[in-house]
Amino acid sequence: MSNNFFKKILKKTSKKLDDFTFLNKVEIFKNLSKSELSLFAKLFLIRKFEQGEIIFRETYPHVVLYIIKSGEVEIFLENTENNIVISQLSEASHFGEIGLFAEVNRIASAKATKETTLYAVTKNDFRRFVRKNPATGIKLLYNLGEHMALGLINSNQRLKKYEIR
Amino acid sequence: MKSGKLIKLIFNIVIVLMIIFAFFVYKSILSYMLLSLLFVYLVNPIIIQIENIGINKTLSIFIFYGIFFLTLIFVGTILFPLLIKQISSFAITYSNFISQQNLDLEQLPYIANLQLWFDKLKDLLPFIDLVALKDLLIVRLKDFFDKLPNIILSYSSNLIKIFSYLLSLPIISFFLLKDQNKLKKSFYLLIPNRYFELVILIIEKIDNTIGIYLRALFMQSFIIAVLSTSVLTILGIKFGVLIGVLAGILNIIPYLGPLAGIILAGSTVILTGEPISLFMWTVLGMWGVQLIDNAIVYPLIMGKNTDLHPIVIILTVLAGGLTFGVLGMLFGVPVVYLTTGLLSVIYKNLKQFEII
Repeated sequence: MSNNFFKKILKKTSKKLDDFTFLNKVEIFKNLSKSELSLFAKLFLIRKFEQGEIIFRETYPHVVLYIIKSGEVEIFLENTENNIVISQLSEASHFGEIGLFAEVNRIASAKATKETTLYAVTKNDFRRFVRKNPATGIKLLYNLGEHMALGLINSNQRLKKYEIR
Repeated sequence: MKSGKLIKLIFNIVIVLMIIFAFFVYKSILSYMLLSLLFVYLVNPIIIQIENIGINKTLSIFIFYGIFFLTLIFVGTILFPLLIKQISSFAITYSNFISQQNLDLEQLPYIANLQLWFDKLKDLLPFIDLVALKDLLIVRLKDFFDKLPNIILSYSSNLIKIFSYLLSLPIISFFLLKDQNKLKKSFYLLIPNRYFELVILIIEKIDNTIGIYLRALFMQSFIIAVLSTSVLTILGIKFGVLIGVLAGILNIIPYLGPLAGIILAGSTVILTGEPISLFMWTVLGMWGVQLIDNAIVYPLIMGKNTDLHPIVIILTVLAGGLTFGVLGMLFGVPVVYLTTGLLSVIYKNLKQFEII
């Protein structure tokens, strides 16, 4: 009896720890404390996608930021002949952050290439969170800035290679 | 394969039947539930404001409820008996006036003004029989004024019911307010992926346009009621509280509502046999309230204009009055504004998400 009880508690805490270790792996949550993470995790809306299901298309309005809990997502540009794959994202990656900073529509399409579970955070919830918890918000925003700066460097390098060729 | 389909069909039928059954069971408290939802919707921003100070959700709700109930107690013990007293003597004054002399509405300056409007409209819209419409409206209005004393008296007994309704409303709402995050999450779980972002966007936009409009409307009515009541009480006018409250409610109708409030105050001063100077002061005071509203209150809480053309507003009030009576006149414009806003938001976003 009591053994069972402890097992239950252990299971619960280990599940929480699992979540925590997962969230720690996500780039934009770097340097966030446990309590900060659990506060932010309250905003998560869970979405499940089947293999091959479209998550969003280019030109759709920007509404949420996605974090991949499990599975794989392909980001691509739609083309009449062949889709141009920009990147292949796996667990603990995130996508759709551009809409947090600019009032633009989606700049690429996203598709689940495996059975995928995503955490969605709406733009409004994110902004409200940053406003309400500025200390945590600054960390989040710096991490997002770093991510986008690296992305810019990356695409510059790609462009350079293309020019040399 | 075939039996699977059959089972699915039966399952769906059972679900539909259960929903119908549930509707019948819950029918009697459906209005109560909808009102709680409206209450939650209107009140939530205030609670978020309290939360933003750094107080947790449950405590914020309790703090708000404390203020809310204190206000209700104030209204119930001081304002409410005063209002009832004023309503009954107000009704008697008006019914006396009507029985004394046959009230010819067309002689009143406001109606004469309306006549001018109609003449202009008649030239604009020759294909609609406006004269008949106008006559019908005047008959309705006359009818309403004849019945007004009785209506007010019967409403005042209903007021007690409404009051107890208001008092118990927050109890259901408490759980809605407290668990709204959980409820929101489970609501979004029900929505298919294809419509997920669309639904979020539409809800946010509705909140931005319609929510703000509704809250602003309530706020504005409240402020106008308080200001008018203060002005009329300072001037020492009979039925000051009642007219103030009515002016606040009438303010829901753009353009015409404020005018009606001023006319109500002015005509009451004349009917109660006060000197003409007081009439001037009353009209001036009510007009001053409108000035404050236009210059300060409206820009501050509405932010931007309700983009309905005055002609649309006048026609809506007219049509609402003809079809649904006084309530139609009062709520016609908000309802038209809300439905057009809602439809345009939904249409635009369905297009953007390539659903239509």
